[in-house]
Amino acid sequence: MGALAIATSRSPTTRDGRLRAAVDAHYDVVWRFLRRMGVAEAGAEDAVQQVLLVFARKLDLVEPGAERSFLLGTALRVASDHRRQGARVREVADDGAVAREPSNLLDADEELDRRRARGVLDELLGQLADDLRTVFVMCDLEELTMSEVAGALGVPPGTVASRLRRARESFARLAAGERARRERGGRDE
Amino acid sequence: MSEERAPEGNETDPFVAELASASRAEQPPAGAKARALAAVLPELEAVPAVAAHEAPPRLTLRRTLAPVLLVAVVLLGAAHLEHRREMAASAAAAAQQAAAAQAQLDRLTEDLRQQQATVARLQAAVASARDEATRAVAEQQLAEAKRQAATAAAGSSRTGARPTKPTCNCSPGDPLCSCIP
Repeated sequence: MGALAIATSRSPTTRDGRLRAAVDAHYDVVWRFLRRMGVAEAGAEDAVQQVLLVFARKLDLVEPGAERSFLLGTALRVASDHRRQGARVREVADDGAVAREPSNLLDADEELDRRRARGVLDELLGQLADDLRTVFVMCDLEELTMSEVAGALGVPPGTVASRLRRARESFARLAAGERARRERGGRDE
Repeated sequence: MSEERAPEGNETDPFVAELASASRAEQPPAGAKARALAAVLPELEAVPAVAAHEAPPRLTLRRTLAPVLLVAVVLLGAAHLEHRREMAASAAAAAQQAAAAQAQLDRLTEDLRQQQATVARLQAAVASARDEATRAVAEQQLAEAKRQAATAAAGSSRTGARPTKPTCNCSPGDPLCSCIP
């Protein structure tokens, strides 16, 4: 079965189709994952292309069905490179507002709220340890299965479960602190 | 490997749920997918298909580990068998030594019993001697028999006796004395 998968995936048409299907199915997830891992909106598109280039080069080594794990595992390293290069930019609430104008006033309000929420989310995620942040984003924000996360990170599922538990505890503490800060701010006004 | 979703998290907290929902609502810019495909497809054509012998790393690791584990198991098994063989040989040697010591002890005990019987017989002869010459001969024989019995008794006790402790010649309170009183 595995040999058959390798043999068929080597035909140019199949490889092309597989790449297109992976981009179609997983582009958004990879893009959001990179954003939550600290890549600025302006650099996210380039970062996804880096991930996809690696995927294209190693396409025949990726088992069918494991594309998303592979893409996110690669995205994790790309995001880490971005951070090392100092490309990580703490975004302000109106980052990228010009790129996508909402169609009406109601949408504009909602979009502004979401943008602010994402700003808060990124700030809280930035306070988590990298390994906890990764598992939290994959499991709780992008809703990957435990085995997908384990495959992407190359660790046993038990390790994923333990990191997720610690990440949730830390995030809940940070969120409670942020909520309390907001409430204090609201009373002061 | 488990295919299960992660257990329910803390999204019951409305604040956390709001943040998660805002994250999922974020979308890449329009046309980003098409641009990515346009950039990546030429790369796919430029890279030749990977040969079948380039197996995924996990498979390679499994293939490498299997013979190593097999060799380790064989070596451990051989070491265990060798240890058991040595233990059996050592137990047999100890049993043989014990049997030899018991046989020697039996022989010496029998010698002692015979000497004691001779001494008793000669003592009776000394007591019932009718003249001085007969008594003197019997006494001489008795002295010789007692000497032989003492020798036999000493040999018998040496076989089963513990080594005697050397006497301590230290003066009381000597700080350089190594004897335990």
